[in-house]
Amino acid sequence: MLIADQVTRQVRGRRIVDSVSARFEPGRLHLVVGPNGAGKSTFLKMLGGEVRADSGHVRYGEADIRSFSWHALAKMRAVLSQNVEIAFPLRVREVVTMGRYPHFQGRPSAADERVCDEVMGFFDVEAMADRDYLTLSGGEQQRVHFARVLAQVWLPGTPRYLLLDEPLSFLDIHYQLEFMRKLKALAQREELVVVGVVHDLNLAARFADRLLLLHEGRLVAQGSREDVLTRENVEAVFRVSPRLVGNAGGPAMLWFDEAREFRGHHT
Amino acid sequence: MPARPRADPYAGVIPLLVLALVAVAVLSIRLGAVPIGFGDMASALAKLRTAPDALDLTERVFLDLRLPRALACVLVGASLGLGGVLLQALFRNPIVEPGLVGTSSGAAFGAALYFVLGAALKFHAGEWTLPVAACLGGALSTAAVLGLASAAGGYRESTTAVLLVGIAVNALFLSGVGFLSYIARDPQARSITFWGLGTLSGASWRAVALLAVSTGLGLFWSLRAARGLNALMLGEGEALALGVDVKRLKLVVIAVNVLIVAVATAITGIIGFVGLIVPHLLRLLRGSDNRFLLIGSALLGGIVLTLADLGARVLLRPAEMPIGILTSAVGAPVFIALLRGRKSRIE
Repeated sequence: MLIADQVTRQVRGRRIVDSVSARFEPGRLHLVVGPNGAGKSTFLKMLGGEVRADSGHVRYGEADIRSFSWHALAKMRAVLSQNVEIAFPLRVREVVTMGRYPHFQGRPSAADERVCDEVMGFFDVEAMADRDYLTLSGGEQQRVHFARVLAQVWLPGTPRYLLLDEPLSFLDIHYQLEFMRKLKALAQREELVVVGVVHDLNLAARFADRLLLLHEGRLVAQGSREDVLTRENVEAVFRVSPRLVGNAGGPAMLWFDEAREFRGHHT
Repeated sequence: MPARPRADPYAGVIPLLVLALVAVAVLSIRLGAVPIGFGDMASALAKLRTAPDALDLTERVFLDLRLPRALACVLVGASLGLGGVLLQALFRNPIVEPGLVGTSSGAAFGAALYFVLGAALKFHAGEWTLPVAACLGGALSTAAVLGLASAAGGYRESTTAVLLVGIAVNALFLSGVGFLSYIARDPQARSITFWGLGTLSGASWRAVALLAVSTGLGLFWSLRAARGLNALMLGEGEALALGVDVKRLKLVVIAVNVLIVAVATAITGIIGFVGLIVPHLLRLLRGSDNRFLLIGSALLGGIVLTLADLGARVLLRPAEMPIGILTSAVGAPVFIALLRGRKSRIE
């Protein structure tokens, strides 16, 4: 269980995250949605420990996040950031092996090597294991980082936590769906606590066990997609009107029209 | 699933570099104004124990000049190579030099102050006055860079601020050096210029001892930081997420860099391009694992500097060229060639 208790973060007097409280349970996929500047990334960084809460508490199980060393934290929670830029030539396998850094000293053990092989297989990057990371496409690089981040929390033991900031941004639609499906299955099977930030409301609605809607730093709604993605919420927060479109044989999906009262701002 | 046997891409390089370093060092000892044979070396080492008063001229040249100089070359080259890896990894930028945080320009300023005003100062430490002045200058300018950078906010990663402030502080201290050369009398100005170009001619056994301590400590602490630096290649947030105490890592890396670069610069003057090119070359050849790069760059730095010193002593024989002229003259085109052919060969 990962708990945010009234966490607040201020930057120059402005509340980027404003007393947000939420509980994240093992085995379930929690997705955070919200418009640009809603505080999603900052909230995720507070959960991961990179950004400290000015007030409020983040707790892993019973223990406050501040009671963990960086190393102790890294053994149980992995973080995928929005944008990873590497300036040096590294093999894909080397990048993935870094995910095991919290778990070994010196050289990786046979178990660590096996984990790396498994996660690379799981995310379909094993064929690139010996290629230079810098020569990969954006989507391929992102899959390499999935593998790295999953490697960090692959083996059972303590409760495990996975925090993902916009994991889908460079993926084509095939890999977006596949990633969400695999992630959901993995969370259930392995009892992972998963919190992710995504932009695509359709994907969020389709895969989330629980949605959180952030707007201007505040938690506007949380719960099932029916509770959260209501017409009123979507119009108020995203400034668009949702429309449910269904076609024979295809999945129902949300379409968005620019809300009339805001149209003038963009022309 | 059985683990596939996989080849270590870094295998074999380090032993090769060790052999090359020994070969180059021996070559450098043998060649010079007075050629020295293996027999001279053996007899000199034997006499050192039994009859130190019976050493002949050749043996004395070997023991008092060539051997400490060769060792100093190896140690200074190793320091510059290590410093290059450390700062390139810290700034996540492959074209950063160890002098970037202001250490060497500050050292040059300290040295120039000593040359111009040294006679007027009450402070004297014998043959150590120049190195001490340079070390103080290096430490001072580095402290200035770090202090000013921490006050300059607004950058996503604090290293960007250090980089920019470093450029400014370097320019400031070099203008100070320029001013001192301008007001200096001719011989003093000449000393400043020579020191700015670097030379190993001051390599004494005491200098070797000091370098051995700084380089040894530097290598030890760098290797302990190597894994953290690997994680840092992904970015500061990722390194934190992987359990690296990034604040502490930066502190250790900068402290180690100041120690090794300030000591090396204080003894030899400014030697450019070695710290830039050596890690770059190894990275292109094999990859970026810092555990490999640190050891490899220490060895290759020693090789490159030894060769450069050999060239500096032999090319204009019997005169001796400042080594910095050679490293920059050879280093600059090599660097440009590396950039032009910038295609990683790790596949």
